[in-house]
Amino acid sequence: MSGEPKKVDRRNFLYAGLGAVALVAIGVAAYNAMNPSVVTQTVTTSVPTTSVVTTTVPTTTATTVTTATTITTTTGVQKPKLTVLFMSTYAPAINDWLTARTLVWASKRGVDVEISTASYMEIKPKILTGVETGNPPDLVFGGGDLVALLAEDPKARHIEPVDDVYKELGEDDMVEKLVKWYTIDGKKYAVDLALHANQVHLIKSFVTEVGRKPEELDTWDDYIEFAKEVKRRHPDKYPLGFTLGKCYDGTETWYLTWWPHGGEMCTGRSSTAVKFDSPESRENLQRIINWYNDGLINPQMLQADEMLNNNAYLTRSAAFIIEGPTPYYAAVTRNPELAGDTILKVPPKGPKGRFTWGSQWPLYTFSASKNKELAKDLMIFLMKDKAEYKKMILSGLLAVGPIYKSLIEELANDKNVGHLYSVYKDSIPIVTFYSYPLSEPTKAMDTVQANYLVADLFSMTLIDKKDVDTAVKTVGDQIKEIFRRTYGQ
Amino acid sequence: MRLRTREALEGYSFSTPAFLLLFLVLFFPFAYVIYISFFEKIFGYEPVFSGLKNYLLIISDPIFKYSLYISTLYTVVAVIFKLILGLAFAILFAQEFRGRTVVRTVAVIPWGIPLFVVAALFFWFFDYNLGLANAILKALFGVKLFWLGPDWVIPSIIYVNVWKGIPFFMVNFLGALQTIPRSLYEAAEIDGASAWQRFRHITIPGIKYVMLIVCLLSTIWTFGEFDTIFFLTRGGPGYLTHIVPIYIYHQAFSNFSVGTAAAASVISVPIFLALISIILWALRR
Repeated sequence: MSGEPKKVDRRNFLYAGLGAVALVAIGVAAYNAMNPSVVTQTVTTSVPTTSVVTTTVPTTTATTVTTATTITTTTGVQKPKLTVLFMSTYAPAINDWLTARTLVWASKRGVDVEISTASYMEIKPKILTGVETGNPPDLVFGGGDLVALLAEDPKARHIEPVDDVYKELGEDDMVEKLVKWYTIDGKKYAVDLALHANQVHLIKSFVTEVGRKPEELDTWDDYIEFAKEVKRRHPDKYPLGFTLGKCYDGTETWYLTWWPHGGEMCTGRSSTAVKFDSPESRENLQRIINWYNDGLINPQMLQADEMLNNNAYLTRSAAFIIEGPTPYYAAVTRNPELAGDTILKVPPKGPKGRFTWGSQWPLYTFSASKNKELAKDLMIFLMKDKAEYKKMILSGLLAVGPIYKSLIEELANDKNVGHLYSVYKDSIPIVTFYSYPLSEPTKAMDTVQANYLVADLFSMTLIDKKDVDTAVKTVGDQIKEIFRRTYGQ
Repeated sequence: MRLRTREALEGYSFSTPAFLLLFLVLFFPFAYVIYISFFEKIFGYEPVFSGLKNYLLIISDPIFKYSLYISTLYTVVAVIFKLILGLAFAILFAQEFRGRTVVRTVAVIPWGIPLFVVAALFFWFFDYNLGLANAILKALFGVKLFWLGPDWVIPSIIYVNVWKGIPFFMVNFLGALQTIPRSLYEAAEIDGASAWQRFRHITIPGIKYVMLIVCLLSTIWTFGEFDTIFFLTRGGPGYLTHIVPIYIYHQAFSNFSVGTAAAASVISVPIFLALISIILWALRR
């Protein structure tokens, strides 16, 4: 080994330099790959294909794609590519229909589509990060509790109004409550794919076993009395299949028992308009605690899991559940005997009336989307052809109802399925949203709902052993604080 | 002098691409997290400077304090169990017996299963009505437990982590055990050392450094684990399994507050480092 300093090889400089250049080149290439040069497309209905693209874009009779002028006939044109994000529902046939119809649309329009699906839990982070990075999906189905968050504040209105879609679809024929739920400052920001309203899944054999008839069960008192009778006969059962965990269904349990007993959330957009901390809330929480302590609700229901009540029904470990009828879909497809032993009914009535939870199944697009006009065109394609739309509703096996009043009427009067679909007709007047009685989309209530704050009432009292007063006050203060933070008052 | 400069330049030119890459994927996101933690930042909204407000909010949040506690408990207990059981299995599988290769291979399987699959497996394993755990309990003792209910959820998630993590410890210890010269044990035996003395004075010193690294890595992974617990419990029931990563996730995607999520991340770093230091110190001793 020589002590002489090692001579520097010039080639090494060259390699290092090339390495740096290659790294930069890879970065630039990756950036370009994520941001293709085709920047805008607009959809029209009758104008022929523009001269810029006629030789390279597949033409269609219905749609013309006009691209930015950077595209020339000699370089070739990329087909527009629509990125679509669908929430996976518990009724897979509906997702299959959505995918199939989207592909039909893409084929007719000469458009590429990239369809991805995400569970209810996954879809929100995907949408939010897309919005944050300025690269949201072109069309979303799901994430209903994000619409007000992303559309209410004029300073951060990320969702594109779809009033023109409503015009095409015929707003007059739609269930008004569903339209109102997406209307902010006079503009509509989403359109519901379907009405997903909670229904009682009542297992008839339990009812007959205790010597009653399903039609006799109408009020909350009737149902609880029935549940207690089932418990007496089957000590190993937990007749009320109600989720109490910190999750979406946990909040449904609260609202479905709270509203009929006079519970109200807010009357406006300020902390002083929040009505949560009330005697009705205390009574309702105590009522649910009593049910739990009486062994009517399975302690497993404290887990944060939307499948628990579905499973309680599917395994007959509960006598009834109240849920958007996707569990019924599961019973029809996997356990027909149970489906045959089930009756779907609107939720029980309380002293202040009858209410049901209306889940949002919205379709919407974003202002930052490069293909928002195409996305709107797809929305129209999916929902305008009522014969096709009806197929989707029927494929859901009662999991959803239509948003069109005429179609609800038609299905409710159908000699084959009318007796089943009348439950959706009965649901329309009682569909309620979490900002009731305001019943408008609000960013603050989206935050309250996304946090599943009302479900904290159950864990505070049943796990942490706090008293009812403290629990209601704590959650009420948290809700007020969210309103204060959101609206500054 | 000129040559030295050229050598230095050469060094810099070689290390610059790697440094840039490291900066992009590691330092930049971390620096951005620190930066955004000083802003009130809601998804989709412009950040507004808020000084230390996010930190004060997080520090005063009892759920965050509980998250730190439960994360630490979960990590420490799980790593201790993995260490003890991993070592026991390694010593067992280091012995000569018929079918040793098959048993060793089977024992490693849990380590190879992806986290979300493990979570799905145990989700059904622990189910009150349909789960295998209760089927066994019912058959043996006539009782059923709410494994993911308030009373049993913490032991249950620790059990899942230990089940998944033991093979990692075992394989590493097995490798380390094979590097200890057989002659040391023979000499100790001739000198009359008991089995415990041989274990204490030969085995442990022989695998000490492997043990240190394995525990360190496992601590890092366990403290930062998200998938399994999120899938199994989503941090519940209530907030019982609200470990730090789930707390941060909820700040970001339920509370929509990127600023407080970032502040919670930054606060947890020194605590995390302290935990690692304590473990290293304990193992060195």
